[in-house]
Amino acid sequence: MPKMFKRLIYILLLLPMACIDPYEVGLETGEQLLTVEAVLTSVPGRQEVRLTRSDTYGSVFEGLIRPVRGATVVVRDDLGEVVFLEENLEDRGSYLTPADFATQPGRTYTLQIQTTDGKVYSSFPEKVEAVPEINSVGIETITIPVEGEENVRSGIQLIVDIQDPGDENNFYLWKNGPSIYVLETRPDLFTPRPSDTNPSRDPQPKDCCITCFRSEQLNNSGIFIANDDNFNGLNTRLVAGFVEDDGLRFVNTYRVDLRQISISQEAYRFLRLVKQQTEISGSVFDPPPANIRGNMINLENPEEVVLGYFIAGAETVRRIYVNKSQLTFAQPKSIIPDDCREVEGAQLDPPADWNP
Amino acid sequence: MLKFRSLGILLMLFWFASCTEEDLGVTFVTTEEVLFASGDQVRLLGRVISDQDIQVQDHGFYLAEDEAFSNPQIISLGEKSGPGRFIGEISGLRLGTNYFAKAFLNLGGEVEFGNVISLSTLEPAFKSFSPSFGAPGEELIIEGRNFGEGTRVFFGDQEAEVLENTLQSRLLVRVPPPADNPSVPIRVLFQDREVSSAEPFEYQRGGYEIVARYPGEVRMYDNVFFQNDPNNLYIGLGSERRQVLISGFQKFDVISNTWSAASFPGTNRSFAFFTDHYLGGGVSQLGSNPFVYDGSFWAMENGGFKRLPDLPFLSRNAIAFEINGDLYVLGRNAQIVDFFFKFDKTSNTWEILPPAPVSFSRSDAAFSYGDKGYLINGGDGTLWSFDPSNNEWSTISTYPGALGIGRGMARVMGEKAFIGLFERTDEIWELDLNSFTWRKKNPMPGLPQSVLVAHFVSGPYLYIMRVPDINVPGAFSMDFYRFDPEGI
Repeated sequence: MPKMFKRLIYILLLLPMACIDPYEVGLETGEQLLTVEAVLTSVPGRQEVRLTRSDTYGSVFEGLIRPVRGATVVVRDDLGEVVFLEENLEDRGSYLTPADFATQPGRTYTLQIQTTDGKVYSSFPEKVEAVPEINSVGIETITIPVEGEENVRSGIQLIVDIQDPGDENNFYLWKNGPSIYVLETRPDLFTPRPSDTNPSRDPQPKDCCITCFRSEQLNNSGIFIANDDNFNGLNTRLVAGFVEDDGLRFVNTYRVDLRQISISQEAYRFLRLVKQQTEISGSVFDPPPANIRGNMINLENPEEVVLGYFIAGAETVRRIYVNKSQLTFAQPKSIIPDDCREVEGAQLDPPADWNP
Repeated sequence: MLKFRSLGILLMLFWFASCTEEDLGVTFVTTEEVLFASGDQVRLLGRVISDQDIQVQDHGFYLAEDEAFSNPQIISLGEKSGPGRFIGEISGLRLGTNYFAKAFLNLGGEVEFGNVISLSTLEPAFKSFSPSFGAPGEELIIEGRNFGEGTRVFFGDQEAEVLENTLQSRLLVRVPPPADNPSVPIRVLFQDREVSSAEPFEYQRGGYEIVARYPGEVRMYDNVFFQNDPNNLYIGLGSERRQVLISGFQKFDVISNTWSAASFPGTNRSFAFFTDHYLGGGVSQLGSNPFVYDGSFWAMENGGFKRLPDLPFLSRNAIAFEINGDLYVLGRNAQIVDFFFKFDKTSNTWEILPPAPVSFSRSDAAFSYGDKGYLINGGDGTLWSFDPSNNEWSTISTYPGALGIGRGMARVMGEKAFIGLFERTDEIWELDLNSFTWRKKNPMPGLPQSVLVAHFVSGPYLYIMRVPDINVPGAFSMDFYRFDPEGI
């Protein structure tokens, strides 16, 4: 009997050990966070502040990134000078400065936003430092192997030559500006798509036009930043951009304006973290995924997460013409069987400042 | 015994080893940024940093003009749960003053301070204002910076009502009534600082004064008016309420402010064309079935009338203007065909000119300046110029005011033309005849639903008479106004 009692106690002891509480992972998802994208520089023009709301990220469709409409957006400098931005009604969520707006080196700027629900956001002050000139821009052809494919991707890297000032700590951001290139098409191969009015499937060559000039604004493929820890006060060459060869751009002559922007140390830190996150390749040496805090803050609730960053900097621009002969590797020429004027952004006449 | 001693030592060792000091954690506060600084306001960012989920009794900022914080202003934000950022705001600071700020927290009765940062409040500045010209009661925007709470705005010495102060940089104010100067600087006062506009604000001008009333209980329409000199102004013919034709004229003597009758030797008529020196055409009977045209043509000189050869055309509702003494008449004839005639005063002959690009009539307004004629289309406000040297027409500008139902005033004084008072409107605009820019004048008093009877120039003034539109019932006197274009 005591033996049985002992066994019963053991069984009773085992019973609570078998109970497992499931662990609830409390992930915050679906919160629509204000996202701010703004790079204001010293080149006068209608500069943009873009406001959106984030949405849930998932493997299935969960939501859309929506523009933030009807907000009051101002940029204020350290003298108290306020510039009101105007919402672009054709591109909601995009707020534009007046046409003559330009930052001034030495001044400090803050971005202030009031949304239609009454919430007020402010950026931390961003000081504009002077930017050194670009001495020259060179190119280097690079090829990028594509896993599982025989053909490689290729393009040109833009290499800047700069003289870094020695008396200050400098942080650089490079962005591709507007580009234009000679577009060559084959109107002699034109075959219209059959329609009710023109059901023929036969080729109908066009007399014009073979050569056009196509303008485009390339999205930056990557974040190109640098600090001068390793070259303070020295002349140096740095990779500042990449333009992919799509079989059209480098058939003849390609022109791009490379923008060099001085940014603050905090903006550099933010962009470096974003760059690290966007370049995660899945290896064990990757940094862990992280939520990167920007420099925007809700004045009523400082703990609210606001994504993005307000960058104010000085800018210098250098233009470069790239001839096809400068490339050491080129993609096979893409054929567009139509009048070149039919291609989006193409025009027959070169721009007035076309001077390769 | 030895065993007990060893066991005792061992237990003592365990006892000491098991004693751990209570971990009080690390909690401190930092003063992070000046998020905003204006003339009288600052916004500060601080942060409570702790490795515990603490409960702070109070937190906020100290602000003082000296680094020792001898007489601080305290921004108390109250209790706070847990670490994190906080924002404090204070207003009522002095302009252009250096301050020191530090964050604080009160944790369990013990007050801790963060690092000290220095900051300066800013100075106000006046950038611009718009519009640069306007009337009392209108709204005006002043652009500048650091216009804090309690900012006052003056137009000269007249204080304006501040309707809105947006982000301390844009003031919406209501233009106050003028004192005695039509051109005044705009002054912005905040605390003990005054900033003002580089350019003055121009009050909308135009003063009106009733100088006389037309004799008798008359409401006159479709009449004629002219002046051969600045002091004798003639109004007459036309009809009384389109029921009875009026005979002759009343002459107004500007110097004595008196009226006297002046007879007209010709036929009474309505809808005649006229200038200061000619009148002709029109209809000699009321009613339109059919129109009874009058083809007589008269010249007026020194208040007298001289009959000229009859017109080579019949007209009703034509419009006329003079260029260098020659008469130009546009309108439609009895066959409803547009015509454009010129009367040469030296040869007393009529000449047919090429038709105008659009139809013109008495429903429009006309004046001449220099060697050109100008017509304002009463339908769309287009200002046309006519060059008689080559018979060319061109569009110059567009009348910016209300056109009502057409037929307006156009009078030239010096290098300005005064245009407006189209039927059932009260607007007058000044047209600079060199730059062809428009400037609004004060509206004409009286019933806005009025129509023109007459207008003249005498010295620096316009003399204007209007009558309520024929559709407005009631008895109204026809007031004769003297209009000072520069009056306020």
